[in-house]
Amino acid sequence: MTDIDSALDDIARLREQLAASSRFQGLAPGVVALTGLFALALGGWQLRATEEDLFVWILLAAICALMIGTEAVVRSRTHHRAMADRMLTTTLNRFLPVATAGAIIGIVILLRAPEHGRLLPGLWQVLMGVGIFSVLSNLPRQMLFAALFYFATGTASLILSANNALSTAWLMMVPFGVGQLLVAGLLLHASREAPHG
Amino acid sequence: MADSSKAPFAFEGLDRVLHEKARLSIMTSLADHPKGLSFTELRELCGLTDGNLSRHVQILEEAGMVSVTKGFEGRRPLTTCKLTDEGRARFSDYLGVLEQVLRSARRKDAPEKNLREKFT
Repeated sequence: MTDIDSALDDIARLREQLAASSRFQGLAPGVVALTGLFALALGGWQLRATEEDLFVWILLAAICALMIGTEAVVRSRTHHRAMADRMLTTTLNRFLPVATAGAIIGIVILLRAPEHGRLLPGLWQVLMGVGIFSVLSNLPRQMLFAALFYFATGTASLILSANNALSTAWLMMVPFGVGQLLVAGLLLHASREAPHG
Repeated sequence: MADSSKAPFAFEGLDRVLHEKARLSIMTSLADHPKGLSFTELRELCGLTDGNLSRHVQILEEAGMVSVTKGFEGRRPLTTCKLTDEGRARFSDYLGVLEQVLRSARRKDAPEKNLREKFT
């Protein structure tokens, strides 16, 4: 290995280290808050129409993921510049498996065992908590509260889904609506703090 | 500003604040220690005097690349330096340009090396 190769290796290692220790700034509080409002609106409509369809929630999740993802790419290019691709890849590599698991569980249960569909809101909330935990090292430390919130609501939803007292619209609307607004608030609070050290 | 397509070796992206031996040394040490380093650790890693280290850390702090916190460890005062997000981004940009410099040098060096290998 020449001196140049060795120097290039050192540079690559340093850039990896910088990306790994940087806070991901791709999440926009406004867009995240909007996804929370969508959840509240969809839940409200389902309650009025006495709808229980969970497929529509999968569709909403896909739309929200697309909105957050597009904004994340744009913001990363501005905030992380040369590190943008590394930061996006690292975050996606950690969050994507959990999101995929949520989609697979949802589609399989709804198509093959719809009688267990009431478990899905709780399972999705627990998975959301796991997803936030998996990217926590690159997010503002306050996001721990969002992960704990989703674990708590996931547990509560799983317990409540055992009896038919609450419709799935309630079990989706309140946790995801409030949860996403909480995430947006935490991101906004973190962005007003002193530069991340 | 020079057009990079017309002047491929202009390397306009080499940040002047970072393109200095002592500051490069400080930034590299801090990049390797995400939780930050005390002033004493930094001085030993960079082989700088107290005065020199203070001066260069101050320049980096004013540029928003390093944050300096003063506290106590027991009864002893402790100054800790850390890279900021802006510092990480700018250092990564700088390293990207440095990488280009080295790749250009390697391409330039390759034909000569091949000739040397052919005739020895």
